[in-house]
Amino acid sequence: MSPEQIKNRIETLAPGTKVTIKDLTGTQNHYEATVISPVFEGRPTIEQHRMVFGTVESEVESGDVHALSLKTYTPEQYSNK
Amino acid sequence: MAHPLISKVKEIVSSKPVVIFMKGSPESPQCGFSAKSCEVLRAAGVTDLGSFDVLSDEAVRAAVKEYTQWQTIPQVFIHGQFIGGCDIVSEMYEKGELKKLLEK
Repeated sequence: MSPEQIKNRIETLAPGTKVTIKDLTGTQNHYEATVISPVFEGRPTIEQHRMVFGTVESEVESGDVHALSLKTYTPEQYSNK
Repeated sequence: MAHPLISKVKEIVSSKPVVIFMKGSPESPQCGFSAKSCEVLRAAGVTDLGSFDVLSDEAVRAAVKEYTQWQTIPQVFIHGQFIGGCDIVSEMYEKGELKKLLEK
């Protein structure tokens, strides 16, 4: 799965979601995603990660995406970073 | 059907305020993610860390995944609540959420 595809998929999470993808190994199967979304507001980190994984579940299950490391932020958390 | 060892998982989870299911032990971790998670917990001030080595018991390893519906190891629990794996614990540490949770 290309970085662009995975970015588009994660952005279906909610309007206003911003995603940056890093290909960690250059092999298009180990990625790191930074996800900033207003939908994370008031939710625990574990739930934020579950939500993101939910958008790429079939690719992770099939092994097409072998590893996806996540960082999730609300817009406010990100601007205070 | 629920995994027969779920009750054992619950027992381990409630044995200490902070518990990690990991590969190896905090003193001798067998995986980089397990090692990093222990390191982060220590940095957040955890001195009495409960741990279970999933490499020593394949059935418990399967049971904890079933219990949390989370597919990777390590898995960290604080006050009996599933928190997440290495990424989440690290992220919560950076955001200052981990300390808050531990102080409760």
